[in-house]
Amino acid sequence: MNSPYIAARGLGKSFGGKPVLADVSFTVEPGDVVGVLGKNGAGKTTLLELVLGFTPATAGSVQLFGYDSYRLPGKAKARVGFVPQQDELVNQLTAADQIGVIASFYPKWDDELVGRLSREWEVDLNQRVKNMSVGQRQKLSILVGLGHRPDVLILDEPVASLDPVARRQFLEQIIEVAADGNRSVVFSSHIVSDVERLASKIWILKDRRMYWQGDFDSLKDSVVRLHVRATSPLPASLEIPNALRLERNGTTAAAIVQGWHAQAQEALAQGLGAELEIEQLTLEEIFLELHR
Amino acid sequence: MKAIARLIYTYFTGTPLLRFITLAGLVAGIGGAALNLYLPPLTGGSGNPARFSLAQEAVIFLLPVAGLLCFVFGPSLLPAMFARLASSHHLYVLPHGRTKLLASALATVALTALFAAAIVTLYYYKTPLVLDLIFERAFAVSFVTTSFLYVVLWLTGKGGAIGLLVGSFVMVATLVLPLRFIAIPSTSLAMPWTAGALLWTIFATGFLLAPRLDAPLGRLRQTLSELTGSTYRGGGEIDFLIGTARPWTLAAGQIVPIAIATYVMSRASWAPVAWVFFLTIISVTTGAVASLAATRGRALWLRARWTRAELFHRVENAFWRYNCYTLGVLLLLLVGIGDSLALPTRALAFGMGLLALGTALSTYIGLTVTARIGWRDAALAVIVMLALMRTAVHVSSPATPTTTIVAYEIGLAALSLIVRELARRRWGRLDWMLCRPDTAVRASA
Repeated sequence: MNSPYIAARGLGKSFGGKPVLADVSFTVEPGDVVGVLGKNGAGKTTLLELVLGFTPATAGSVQLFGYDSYRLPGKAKARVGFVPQQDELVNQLTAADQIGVIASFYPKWDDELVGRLSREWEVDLNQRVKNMSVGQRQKLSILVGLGHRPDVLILDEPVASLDPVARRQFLEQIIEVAADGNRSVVFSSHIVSDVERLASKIWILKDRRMYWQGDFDSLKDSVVRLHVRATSPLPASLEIPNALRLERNGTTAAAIVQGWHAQAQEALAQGLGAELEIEQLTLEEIFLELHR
Repeated sequence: MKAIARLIYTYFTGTPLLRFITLAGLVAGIGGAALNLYLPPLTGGSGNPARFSLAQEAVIFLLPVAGLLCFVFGPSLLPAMFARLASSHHLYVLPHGRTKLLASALATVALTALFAAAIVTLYYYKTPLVLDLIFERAFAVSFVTTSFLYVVLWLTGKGGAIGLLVGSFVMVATLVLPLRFIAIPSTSLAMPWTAGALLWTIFATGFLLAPRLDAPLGRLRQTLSELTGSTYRGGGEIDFLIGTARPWTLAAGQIVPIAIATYVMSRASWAPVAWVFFLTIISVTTGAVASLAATRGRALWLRARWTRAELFHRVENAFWRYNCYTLGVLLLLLVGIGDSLALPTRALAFGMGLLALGTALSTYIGLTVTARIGWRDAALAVIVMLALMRTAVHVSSPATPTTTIVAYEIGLAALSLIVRELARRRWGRLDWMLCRPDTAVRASA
């Protein structure tokens, strides 16, 4: 079995004594496409920056390709790509020069890929960066992060400035290109539908901790909406184990249950003397319920 | 190596204008030096028949100098690009990014100095001077001054009072060092080499260790901020938003570069009147803080009920309050230096007026920056700077008639009023869409 590209254990970060991330552990295996979800201030950017070694962890450790990410050697850096939330391009240069400058740092650069994507994304390589629209700059920023075909590509809200049509097509292409075979992608986004569509693994950050991690199917099976229909009024003291929220209305009730499993259904139905119906939620619904 | 070469190439050719300047510098520098070498001008003056007309000889004579100047300004993208890459997240993930970026800056400075030294040496090739020594002196002085020049551009480009303060300190050194070694050729080269090595060592150490220094520097900034108190006090909203809340930082900070310049200039036995010249330059630098006013004023426009014209008057008043501190310190220093070095009373009196005019002009030029800086703005700034320098020379020279100095200072006062009117009009039709932070930062640089 391949060793994980990224492995974090008990990772934590504080700023001025105030914790922004605590006790986070995870791994990213070759081929994983990880979507990171969380409310504003949940610690998404901090987590990605810790993975990339921009800042030292105040607790635990994170390793990238087996190296301490804060002391990443050059050969490991050549295998990482990063697209920041706000582009960091040089305004005075043309897009071609910007790509050329960044390309010169890497031993290998896929000119064919960058050329093809720039045509498909309609990025004018002769245009000066300062004259580009926000969306064009973001596309260029991604080209710069992709060109060396990194084994791990980390994107911090990469498509926030694109319109929905461009976003959908564009993100799919990034994943296709960046996550082929043994390459991995970790991306954070506020757009839950993008994560649902593209990610093979989901991390949900809540209250500075890794609240949930795993594949989307497991999450959908784990967090469900439960409809209870009884022939007589349900008791006022009705309790459903692991319910995040419970609404009762005479003979019916609806609950959002976390940690649901098939065996629980039969036991609960018998206990309540009611008919149970399980409704699976979309990722957006799950996300909203978890943060309610 | 590939990355370093690419970065150097981009510094020189990143924009069409820089490509032109660099190419012009190469052609004029090499071509001019070759012409001087093979078709030496001014042969008529040495008893030989003249080959060219006087105008042609002047062109041949000045061509290498023009080429040299062009080549020095060719890599003008270096400070801006260095600053952008240095502050980006890319530098953390680019393989050996920090080292390569630093090496590219050092190599660019060395390349520029090498070109300058080669041109100067070729220039003097047919003279009886010792060429090795000329090359060595020219290289050492060019290397140090170019290094300091780029550090100034980088620091001032970062914006903020501290950047300007350190920039003004470095600028004094930039002006003092080469003049000293040009003026006194017998001076040892140990000092410029030491200054250059020290500058690069400090810069490289700070730059390479920046990721490690982030946390302790953050704590230091926090402590300093706690010590100096809050920049915001009730009723001081304008000062807080446009950055004039702490006038003492810049005013007191001027003392450091001036103290260092005092040391250097006293060792070089400079005439005391040179002080008027240097203090005038410092007054211009400190006034440049105003170039960020329009961008910062955006926040005021959104929150207050003032018209654009009213906003201009309030910002103008805030900057004059701010400038009173910096100008006050400069005037006190001039009086103190003048008293201790027995500066002529006339130079002292007109010098004080000139400092006030320098501050006023630079403040109003700063306030004219309400959009991307164009060639007209750049030309105006250069003209004002040259006019101030010229006046400073006249003020310092005992041979200049008083009426000439008065005429110059009245001319500068009139120019201040014209530039103020220009700034007022620009603020009156200020387009906040065109007034963006990056524009202002470039302008301050």
